[in-house]
Amino acid sequence: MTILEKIRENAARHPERLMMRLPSPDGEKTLTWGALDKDSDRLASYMEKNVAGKAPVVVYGHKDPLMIVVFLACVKSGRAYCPLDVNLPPARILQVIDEVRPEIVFATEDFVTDRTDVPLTDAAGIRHILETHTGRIAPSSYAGPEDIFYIIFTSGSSGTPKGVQITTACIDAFLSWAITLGRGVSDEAPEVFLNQAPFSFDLSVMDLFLTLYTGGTLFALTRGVQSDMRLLLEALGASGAHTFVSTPSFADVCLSDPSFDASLLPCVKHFLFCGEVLTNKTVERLMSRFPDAWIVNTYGPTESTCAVTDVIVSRALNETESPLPVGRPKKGTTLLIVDGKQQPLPDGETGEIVIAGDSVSPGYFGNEVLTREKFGTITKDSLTLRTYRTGDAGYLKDGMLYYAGRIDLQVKLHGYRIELEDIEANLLRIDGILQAAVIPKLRQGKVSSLAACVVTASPVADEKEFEARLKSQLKENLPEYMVPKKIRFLKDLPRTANGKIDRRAVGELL
Amino acid sequence: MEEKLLEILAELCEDDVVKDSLTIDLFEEDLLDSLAFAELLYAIEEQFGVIIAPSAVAREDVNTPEKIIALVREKLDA
Repeated sequence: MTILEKIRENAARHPERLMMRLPSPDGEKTLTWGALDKDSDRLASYMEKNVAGKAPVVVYGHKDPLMIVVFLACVKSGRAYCPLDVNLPPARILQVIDEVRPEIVFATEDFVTDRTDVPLTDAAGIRHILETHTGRIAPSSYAGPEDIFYIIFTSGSSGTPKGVQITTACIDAFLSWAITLGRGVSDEAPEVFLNQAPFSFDLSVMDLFLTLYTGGTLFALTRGVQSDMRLLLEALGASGAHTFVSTPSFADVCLSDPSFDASLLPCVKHFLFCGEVLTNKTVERLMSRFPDAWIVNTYGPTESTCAVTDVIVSRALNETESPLPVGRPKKGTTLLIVDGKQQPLPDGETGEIVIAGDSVSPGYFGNEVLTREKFGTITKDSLTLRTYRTGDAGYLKDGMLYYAGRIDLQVKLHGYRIELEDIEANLLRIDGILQAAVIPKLRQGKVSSLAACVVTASPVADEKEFEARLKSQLKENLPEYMVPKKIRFLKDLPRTANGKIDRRAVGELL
Repeated sequence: MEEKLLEILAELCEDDVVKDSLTIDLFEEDLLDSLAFAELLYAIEEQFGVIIAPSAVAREDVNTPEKIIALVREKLDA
C-alpha cells in the first residue's frame, strides 16, 4: 500500500487518535488523524481550483501541526512540497523561493519579507481556506509514484543551496524497510515517535513518515524546548515515546542530565540514529540508562531518502567494533565502493560509497549539470537502478558498511550537512574579503566546530570587532550552524605547489 | 582542580581565553554551545566525580569559568 493510501486508511480507522502533539509555551498543540485527512483534503481541493500549475509549494514554519496538513494537501493535489524552517535566515529562504518559483507559499509562522512578488498565504489565510472550503479530493489527483513528493534543500558548494527531489516511489521504498526498524505497532496502542529534527532536515522523514505510515503519533520538540533542559525533560517525560529518533549529538545533550533514563521514558523501545557518526561512548551511556532499549544505527544521505542501511548495536558489537559500522543495505539498495575512476573496489578497501536502488532521488531541482555529475544508473538483475555518488568514504566488510569520512569538503556538524565551500563563497561575497578558507575542527573523531581564515583587502584595525561583524553578516545569509565559531585574519593563505589552498596548513594555523 | 577544569574548558571552547578571562560569558561569546556544555558536564563527572544536572542549574549560574569553578568546588566540599 502506498503512503497516501495508508494515511487515508489510518485516518478512517482512528479519526480521533492524535497524529501529532507539540508542547509549546501556550499549551500543547495537537492534530487528530481525522482532522489531518479532512483539512488536507480541503486545502488540496482549494489548490486544485485556485492554483494554476503544478509547481512545488514552499511551506515555511517550525513544527506546527498545520505544516503536516499543508504537506499532505500538496501531495494530495499532485504537487511537491518544499519545507523551510524558521531558523533559516530570510536571505536563504528567498534564495530557495527564487529557485523553486512556487505559485503559492504557505507560512504557518510570521514570514517577514518586503518582497511583494512572494505569493504568500499566512496561517490565518490557511485557516480561512480550511473553514470555507469543504471539498474532498479524489485519489486520482494524488502525486503518482514517479512524481516529486518533497524537495529538501541542503548546503551547496557553489554558495547556493541545492534541492534534493524525492519521489513517492522513493518514500514507499524507504518505508517498506523503515517500518521494520520501529516494529511493534498495534491498533490499540499507537506507537509514539519522537521528533527532534526540523522538517527541512531529512532526518525528520524517519519519524514523520513512520508515524504517518503506522498510524501512530508524532511527538515533536520545538527548538525552544530543546534549548532549555528543564522544558526538554518535562516534554520527554510527557511524551510516552516508544521510538526516539534523533542525531547522536542530541542524545549526548539529553544524556548530560542524570534524569534522562528509562524512568523518565519508560516506554522507549528503540533509539534510531541517523545524520552523523554514532560513537561507542554514546552507545555505552545509553545502554546504562536504557538497558532494555534497542539502539539502531543507520546511514544515508538526503539523496537516497533519509537512510539506506541499518544495524542493531548490541553490547557485544559496541565492545568489539570501533568505529561502529553503519549497517547493511536495505532490500532494494545496492552499495558499491569505487575508486577515483569509478571502478569497484574489493571488500575491505576504502573508496567512495555509491548508493544504487529504489530510494535514490531522480536528481536536484532545476540543476541538470549537478544531477549528471552526481547521479547515474546501473543495471542489476535486468533492472535499471538509479545511482548516487555520495562523496562519503567507506568500506564494506562481509556486507557491513563502515563510514570513513568525506572525500570532498562536506562536513557534518551536529548532524547538519555543510559544504565548506558554501560558507567560503558567502564570505567572499562580503566587501573587503579577498580569500577565505573554512576548516572543520575535530574532537574525538567528530566535527565539533568550524573555523575560518580570511585575507582582507586592507589591514584590520580591531580584529575582534571585525570578526563579530563578519559573523553577523554571514548570519544574514546562512543558518547559524554554518557560521564559523572563530575567524582568523591572515596576510595570505598557505598554498600547495599547484596554487590551491593548503587546507592542512590552514588547519594547523588555527 | 581549578587548573584541570580550565584545561578542560579551554579544550571544549577551543580557546585559551577562558583561562585568562574568568568572567567571560561563555554562551554570549559563542564559546560554548549546548553540545559542548553537555560534554563539559560529562568531563566534570569523569574527572572530579561531580554530577551537575543541567536541569537543576540556570544558565546564568554556569555562564562563566568563574561560576563553573565555584559550582564544582561547592559540590566537592559538600
